[in-house]
Amino acid sequence: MLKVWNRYRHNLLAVSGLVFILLLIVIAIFARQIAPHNPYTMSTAARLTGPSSSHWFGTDQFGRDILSRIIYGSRISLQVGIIAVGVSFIVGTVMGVIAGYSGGWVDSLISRITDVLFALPDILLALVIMAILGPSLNNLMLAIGIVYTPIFSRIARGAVLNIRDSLYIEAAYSMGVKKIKILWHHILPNILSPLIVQVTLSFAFAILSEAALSFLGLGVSPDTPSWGIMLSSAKDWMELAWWTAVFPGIAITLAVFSFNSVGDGLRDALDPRTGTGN
Amino acid sequence: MNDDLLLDVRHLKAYFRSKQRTVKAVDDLSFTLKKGEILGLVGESGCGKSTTTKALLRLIGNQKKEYLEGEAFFEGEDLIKKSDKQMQKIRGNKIGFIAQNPMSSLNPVFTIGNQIAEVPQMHQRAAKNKAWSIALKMLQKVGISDHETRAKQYAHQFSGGMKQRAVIAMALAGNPSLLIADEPTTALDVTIQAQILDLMVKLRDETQAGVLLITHDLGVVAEVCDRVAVMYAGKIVEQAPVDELFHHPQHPYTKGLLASMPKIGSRKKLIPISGHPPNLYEMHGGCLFQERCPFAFDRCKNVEPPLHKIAENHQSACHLSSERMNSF
Amino acid sequence: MGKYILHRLIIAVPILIGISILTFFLIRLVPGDTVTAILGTNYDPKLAHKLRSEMGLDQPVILQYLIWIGHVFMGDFGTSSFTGQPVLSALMERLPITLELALLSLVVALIIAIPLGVLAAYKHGTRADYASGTFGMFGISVPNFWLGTLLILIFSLHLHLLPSGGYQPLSKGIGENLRSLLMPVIALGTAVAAVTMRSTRSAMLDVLNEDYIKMAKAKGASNARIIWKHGLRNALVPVMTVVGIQIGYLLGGSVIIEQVFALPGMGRLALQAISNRDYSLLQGTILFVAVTFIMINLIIDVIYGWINPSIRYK
Repeated sequence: MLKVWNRYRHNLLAVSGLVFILLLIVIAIFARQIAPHNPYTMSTAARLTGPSSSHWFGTDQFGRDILSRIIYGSRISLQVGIIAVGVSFIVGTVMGVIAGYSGGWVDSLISRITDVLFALPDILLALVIMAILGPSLNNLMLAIGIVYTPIFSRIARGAVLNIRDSLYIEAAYSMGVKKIKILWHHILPNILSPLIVQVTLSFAFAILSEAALSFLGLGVSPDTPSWGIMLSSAKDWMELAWWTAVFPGIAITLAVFSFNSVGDGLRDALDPRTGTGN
Repeated sequence: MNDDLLLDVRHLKAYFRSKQRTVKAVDDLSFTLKKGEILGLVGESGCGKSTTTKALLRLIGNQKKEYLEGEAFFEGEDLIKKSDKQMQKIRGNKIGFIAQNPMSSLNPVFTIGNQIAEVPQMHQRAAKNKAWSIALKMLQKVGISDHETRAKQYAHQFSGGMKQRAVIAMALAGNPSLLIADEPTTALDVTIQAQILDLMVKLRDETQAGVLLITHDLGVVAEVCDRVAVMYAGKIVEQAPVDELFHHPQHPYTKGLLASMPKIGSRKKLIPISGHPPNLYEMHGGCLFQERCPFAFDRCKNVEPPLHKIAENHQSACHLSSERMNSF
Repeated sequence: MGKYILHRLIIAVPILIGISILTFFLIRLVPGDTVTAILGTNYDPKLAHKLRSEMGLDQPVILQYLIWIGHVFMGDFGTSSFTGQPVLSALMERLPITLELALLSLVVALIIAIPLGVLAAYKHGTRADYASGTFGMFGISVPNFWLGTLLILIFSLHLHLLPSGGYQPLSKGIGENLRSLLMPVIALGTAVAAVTMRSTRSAMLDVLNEDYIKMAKAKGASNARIIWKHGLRNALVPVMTVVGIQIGYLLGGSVIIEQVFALPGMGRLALQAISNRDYSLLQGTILFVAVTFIMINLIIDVIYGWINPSIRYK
């Protein structure tokens, strides 16, 4: 563990990503205390005003403070990330472990399902699911969760297959250890590191997907302070007010960047062989 | 000066420097090689023999952490002083290299013929079809049957022995006057080893090229070499014609190597050399072999024995070897 | 090689069947059926019943699927329940735009990314390498729709250099056509370029440590020859796998980019179908995108076999 941290520590990009994620979590938790304005309060007098000392990032077409909406938006992004990735992590890992461990027709069935889900571009699949479920935050998290389930299933299956036949599992078998115990004590800890990396990277994807689907009008409801929604409405106003389009995008990019670089750093730190020297 | 002299290495040093320490992989190495001669460079792994080949080919010495010193006159020109551009014209052309691991030394995405033809294309600016016919000729020369079909195949379609033949064909394609072979048979089956060694002797007879053969296997040396240089911890400790060395070894390390080698028909117990080679970064004064030497005495701890002549064509670096010792 | 392609084709069949089942049944789950959507506020139960039986919507679902898939095999994807246009012809109208956008983005991205990745590996550990690493990380993190929005903001709204949207077909001249796609291609291709650059770099770093690279050097090959001939061809093997995955991103991303730049491609068609609850059109579109995805991947597989001879002969 200490070794992993020592390797991680030397990766500047990964460390700054981690710091930014922690900052994001603090901002999300204390949004009410940090935000200078109420993110929902409209003001006809303050419509589309540029960045100023009272509105650092300006205001939108309803006179709402963009900085405050971005601060509250961090809650949506993190919530989507946690729930959607949580769903796909748990469901996908269970599917993959079952497939890899049991083999036979169960494996074939699960593998074919993941193949089919992989053959559809993920945004398109999420779009169709959102069309079925209807736009709402809960449905969005479910849709993104479904889309990223096959990745976890595939990784878990591959990792299980890799070590299922290895000597120490065979040794455990021959000593009469129960199947479920082998699974829990020997296989799960061993497949954890590729899954942890994937969790981090999926977090980045989930934040991007939420923003993209909301941008298309198939995500959260339009009055929600979500970064994607803010960009979506900025399209119509940006000719007059560039700040409506610029700041929410920076927020998304930074958040996604942080999760990506942490995922990258973790991968290099957990498996020094793939370390590419960055 | 001898007209037959092909390679004359004098005081060659190759050090690897890092922040903490300097590893003296090759330290003050001198030897010569004549035309048409096969010189065996023998030693345990890590003794600096592979580094010697890399230094001669100048595959090292281009980075800050790699330090190269000394002289290596090849056909009268010092290789150590050449620029990388000049070396490009020599490598593969005048000096052919046979790599240690044929399994991974062939590029998997190009045909064997393509990889051999590349040599005349680069060095003689040969046209494509001319280069291809040279490649075919080389494959034939190294004894690959059905060479026209084989030339169009890829490495994964070749067996281990054929891969090594292909690598040798590649080394010969430039018609070199010096062949450097780094453990050319280590990765091969025993029966294949013998074939490859026969091939190398045959090719030497045909081309009159000098061959520097790096190996840890004294059996290989006995089979093909004319002369042997034994390396230990970056230095040559004994040098002699092959018969002389096998029958009258002078240095305790050479004796140890011979004693640890099985002989057909002999029921004598094999005696391993005790201990391990020294770390090449924490060397102290005196003889490098002293810690493992059964004959070490006070002088060995303080004075490093120089390589000195003890008979015609026979040199040894041991304080004892001037006073013939036969008690071992 | 022929055998290899055939093998890849056979593998694709069950996936295609799976996709058709998935799209068909998923879309049955959409709340409010087509008839409700067509009739809107003038909903009349009798008329609705009549329409449903005309459209075959009162049959068992499995039968509906078999009828539909049978028709699909004959090239009949049904008609759009909203516009009355045959689905296939609507798709064929839109397909070239999406394909042009996706492939142009891919080609531009590869042309830029592969040499950059190779150079980053060659200059491994230098400042240029770190800079390219950071740039690559930004490239995969920046949302394509925001990048598109920024491009419009700068080059259309402020500098008036490029059209903010709309598609100019090739019939209006290649210059006009490319002008209308320039910003969409940058917006869509940046992430692909970033991913490709990163994977090229790491593949190249692995390859440069191989014995055959040392052998090439010992043969007297120049650095340029070692990198671009001996190294790159091998490094491309893992990179092609990554490119195959990127195709999915390109097709999915084109849905968003087509919306940002008002390009009438398949993605926009899918979004329209969703908002009109146009079943047959949505089914057809998704099936079409999936088939396109699988076909492009097949082409990638063929290129993969060409680059990597040991795959071809298995």
